[in-house]
Amino acid sequence: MKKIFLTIILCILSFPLWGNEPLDFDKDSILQVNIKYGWDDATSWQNSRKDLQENMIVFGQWENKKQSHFTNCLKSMIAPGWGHFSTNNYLKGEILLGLQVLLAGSAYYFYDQSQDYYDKYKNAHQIDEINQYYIDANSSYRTSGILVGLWIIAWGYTVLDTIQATENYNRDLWYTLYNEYMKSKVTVTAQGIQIRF
Amino acid sequence: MIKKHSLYFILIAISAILILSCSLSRNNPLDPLGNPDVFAPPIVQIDTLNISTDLIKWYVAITEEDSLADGYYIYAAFQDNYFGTYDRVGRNISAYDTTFSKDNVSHEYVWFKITSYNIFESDTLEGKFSQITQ
Repeated sequence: MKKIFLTIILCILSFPLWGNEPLDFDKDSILQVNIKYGWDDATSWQNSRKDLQENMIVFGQWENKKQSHFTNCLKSMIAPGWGHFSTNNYLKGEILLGLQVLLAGSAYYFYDQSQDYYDKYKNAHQIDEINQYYIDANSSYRTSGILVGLWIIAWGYTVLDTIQATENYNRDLWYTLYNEYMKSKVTVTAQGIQIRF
Repeated sequence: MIKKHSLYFILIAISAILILSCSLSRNNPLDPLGNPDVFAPPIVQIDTLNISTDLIKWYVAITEEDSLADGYYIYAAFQDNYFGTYDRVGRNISAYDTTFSKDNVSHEYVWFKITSYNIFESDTLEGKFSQITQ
């Protein structure tokens, strides 16, 4: 009796095995038309996912190699042009460094000259000399001030331009890494080894 | 809307302008423009109408008694023309002593110029040089 009962249960449970096998899974039927990404079929969806995975791999490398805006700006604040040199912007770095050395040196020269005239002014006893030495001292002092002002502007420009230089460096780095990745046939990642054909 | 970078640049430009607005102070105690208690000594005019072979005469154009000089310095240059270095060769310590004997300085060519001076708290302030005479 038990055997008959078990056989009936097995037969009931095995009914689905004899049912009509469904057609291929219609992935497109469950894929909503995504207006934002333009995924109107499964292939484009899969391609996008593949692109995303590749981008994430490159992004990981890029995150490790990209440069910090803050660090480069700090470098430019300490030594003009250093931030540009770090971003391989050698010509611009040299020009900005040279400009600032020139301005700072000229400013110091005129300041020193103004102090020389000012000392003479303070020790002068003749009215023409007093006036002339003061005019000369003040003229050199103002020239020095103008050069210091220009130096400050050049310094500020250098620091601000370092941000743009770093942006450009990071952007170029992305394209370089992406192109290298796309050209490479074998890629070793944390998830394993990927071979491209 | 001003970008952050533009704002930084404007701030730097303002600081540069502030630096440019600075100038040196006139702190020479003998500078009439820096010390209101000091006034410039009167300008000396050589008396060309009464030219003498052995004496230089001069006068000062003054409008107030206060601007009288405390004295005069006489400078001379010993050379063919009036360019060059002038040395102090005499000093008159009275405002009313406005002559100098050329015999005090003997040379073939001698050029003279005069300044008046005032004394302010033991410091001497010289006025403008007169025209040059021979």
